[in-house]
Amino acid sequence: MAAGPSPNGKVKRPRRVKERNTGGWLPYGLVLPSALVMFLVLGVPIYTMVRFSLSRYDLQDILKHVPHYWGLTNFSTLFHDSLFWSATWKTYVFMAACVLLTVVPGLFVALLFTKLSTWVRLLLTTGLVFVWAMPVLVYVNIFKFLTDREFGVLNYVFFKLGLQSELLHKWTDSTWQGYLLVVLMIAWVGLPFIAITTYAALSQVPQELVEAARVDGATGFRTFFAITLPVLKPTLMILVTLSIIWDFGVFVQLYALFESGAIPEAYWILPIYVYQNAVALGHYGLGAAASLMFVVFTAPFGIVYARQLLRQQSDFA
Amino acid sequence: MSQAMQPEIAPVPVAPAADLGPKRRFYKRGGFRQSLWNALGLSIFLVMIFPVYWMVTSAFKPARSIQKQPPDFIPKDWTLYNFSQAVHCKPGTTGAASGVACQPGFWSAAGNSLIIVASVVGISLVIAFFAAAAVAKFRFFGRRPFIVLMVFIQLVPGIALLLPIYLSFSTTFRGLNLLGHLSGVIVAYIVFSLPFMIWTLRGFIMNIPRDLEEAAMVDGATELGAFIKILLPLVAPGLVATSIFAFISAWNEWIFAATILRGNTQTLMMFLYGLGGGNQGIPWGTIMAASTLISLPAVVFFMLVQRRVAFGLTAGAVRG
Repeated sequence: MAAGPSPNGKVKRPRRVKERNTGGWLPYGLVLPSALVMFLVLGVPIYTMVRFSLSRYDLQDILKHVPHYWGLTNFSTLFHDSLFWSATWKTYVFMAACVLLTVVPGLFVALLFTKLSTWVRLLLTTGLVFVWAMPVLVYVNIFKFLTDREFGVLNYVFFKLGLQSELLHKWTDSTWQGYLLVVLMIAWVGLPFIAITTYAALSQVPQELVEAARVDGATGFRTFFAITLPVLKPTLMILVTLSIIWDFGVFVQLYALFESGAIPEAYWILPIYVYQNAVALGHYGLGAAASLMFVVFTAPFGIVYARQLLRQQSDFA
Repeated sequence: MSQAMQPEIAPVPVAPAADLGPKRRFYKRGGFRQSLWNALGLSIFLVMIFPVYWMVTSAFKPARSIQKQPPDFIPKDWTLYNFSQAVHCKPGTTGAASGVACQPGFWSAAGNSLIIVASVVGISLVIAFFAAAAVAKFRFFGRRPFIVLMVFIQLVPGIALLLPIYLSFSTTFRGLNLLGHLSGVIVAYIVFSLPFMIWTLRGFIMNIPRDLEEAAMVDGATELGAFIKILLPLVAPGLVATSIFAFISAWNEWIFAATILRGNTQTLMMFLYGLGGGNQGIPWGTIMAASTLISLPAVVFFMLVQRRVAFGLTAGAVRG
């Protein structure tokens, strides 16, 4: 990988059959504060959530400190809730749309970088880094403003282009347009990361090979698929997996799009379902079960990514 | 000039200077073709930067210029009114000119955000550095599981941890009064920045040649002395970069703060969210002015890291 923490040329340490302890108690002391914090603010909460998912715990039970166990009832309620299943498939479709619209244009821009004059490339890079740095709530606000019913500049542009019949137009009134808006903002903010990282990886493509292929009469497409793409593949794999994981967890972009959390059910993807059930409606037990299911759905992608990442570590062979 | 700057701003230098000869000649071939590519690059730049441009220019536009179609693509007259609305609003007053309700508390929110960010960066930097040094420099029982755990935690979507943290704060840790207080947000943010910081710092520490430390030890320095004199200066860039990333993610975060604080106390992001909730039409000018102010620190710091460190994938941790 191009920009990982350890360079490719790193010398592999001879593999030991069994790790010998070094440093006595010192490393344990050094790890202790982090481990303790992680245990208290991550381990305990996750345990709490699992316990809640197996308990009856609603808003009216909030004063009871001991949850009342009722086995898998929450899960069976969940699995009988059609809203949960529609939220699940919507999450997958939405994620796929986001990943596709981030990675493909990102790859395109990365390839374009190699064709640009230096000053255009610098300008574009700077612009992309600006976009990359935008806080999520800020860009949601910007996109809300761009598509404001009365004063949205996108409405004006699309009206002039003949893409919409009326100037006054509220995007979120139509479900697919509302989703389109969210996908657009995610593609917009996600593109810089993909483009810049892929461009860095492009520098690993051996130019002699590209030249040779050109001399031999290969077309641009042929060269791309035979030489460039195989070199990019590991980076692209990681980028796609990361995008999948991120776009699976999209929440704020949808939540903040609507006034004070009043989100129409058509827009309930899993994280919204969890939040609305647990935090807004106070069905803590059901919310906890849904949240666990959400983690289960994400886990495969996480495992794929972690394996890719750990495999590159020299002391992890 | 621009050639010399290029390797600095791109995350990784394109290619060694020697290799650039034939490649450049290849791409420079044909001025017309080149200008077509450049035109395409420029139009992508315009499309990508437009939302940011629109935020900044709208922040300086008077209400009459914002509330009209067709819009002024290039602002005609400029005003600082929106900024003063965002920053100076007194409780219970409305902006006289536009009749739009404003929301007080920008400065107290800014203070809270600063307290949160400073505590998160300070605390997590120290304990993450200890842990990173341990996993990078020593071999001990439980080292690998610890590293694997750090990787996995980074991959759990943040939103999946919202409910566990909220539930445990309101039951198991009820006595600690974390809900409704800045301490709760600080503790939550520390947990999010720790795995990423440990992982990144570990990379920096591992890349320090062992010989350097050993040389220092031979010269009579103790383990601790070698640690402070040799390790610390060498990982300083790593410490700066990870602190900046922790800063940005804490600065940009909203939903955890909103859920934990429940409106008792506000962070800047909560303040920003509250601006949209007026019942007399959405004050877009004020919102864009506040957005501009609030994103400024994030953008500046992001630019700093982007120029200084080849960060590639690690920067992914910043994405909202």
